[in-house]
Amino acid sequence: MTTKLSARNGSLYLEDSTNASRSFSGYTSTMTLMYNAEATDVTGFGNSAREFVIGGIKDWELTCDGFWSSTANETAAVLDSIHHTANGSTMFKLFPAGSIAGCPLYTACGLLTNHDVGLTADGAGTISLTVTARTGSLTRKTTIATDLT
Amino acid sequence: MSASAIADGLVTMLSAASVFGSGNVAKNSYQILETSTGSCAVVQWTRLISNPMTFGDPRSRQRTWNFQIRCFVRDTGDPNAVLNRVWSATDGIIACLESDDTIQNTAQSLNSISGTRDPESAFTVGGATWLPFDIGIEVNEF
Repeated sequence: MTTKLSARNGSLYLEDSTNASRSFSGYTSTMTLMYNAEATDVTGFGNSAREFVIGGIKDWELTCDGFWSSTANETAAVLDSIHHTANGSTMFKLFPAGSIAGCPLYTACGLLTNHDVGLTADGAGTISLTVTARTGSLTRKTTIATDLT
Repeated sequence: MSASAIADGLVTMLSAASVFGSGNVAKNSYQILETSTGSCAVVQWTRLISNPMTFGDPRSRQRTWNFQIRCFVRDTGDPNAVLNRVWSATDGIIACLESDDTIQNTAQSLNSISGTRDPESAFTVGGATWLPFDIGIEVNEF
């Protein structure tokens, strides 16, 4: 039997410029982690169908939409610190089933490549961000206590 | 904040001398129809939606409230005066609501303001004839 997941317990942390993990999920409405692998095309003359080889380069991208908050250690303050002080460098931890020991965890080092602030006259201020791979691959593991610090 | 806090804010705002005046706006009863000598209003909520905004347990939520301000203009015997007071009450209410988006610091934003009125509608309470109309507002808390 499959184990379905209520996404509401999803949890996201980003490291700020002091390398402290800051929780984003309390201010976040969507999180998307995209894992991509190139399919290298080696189709030649004589092929009747396209042919690809294994081993294409892989990368990942994390996007997130949420709400703007300038309070210390909250969304806007953390994103500004990554952008201006850490030269865009950060590490993320995404817990699809909640930040509890034993639950799955995706983590990697990345670059904050996009950071938007959105304001509408009749709604809440919003932020959106994109973190793309820097070095190393995306890690999927089981959460242990030290991942939660 | 809460529905009752927003309603209290509306009662305070609409009780200004430039709108209905003190003692002519209520949220708990229609008794003011028995005591008001001019125009009066009753505040009620009509619709509520609470939607999650974030992840977590409990999650941050946005509440969208719709409130109805049911207004009553008393016919004091002069047919020109009563309709003039409908116009002036409408202008006063709209100006009042547009003057404070936070409704006395009880909400994040007062968004839409709407109104409906049946020009042929009137009813009698306590020996007086009243011309009713409704002002509706949508309020966000988050």
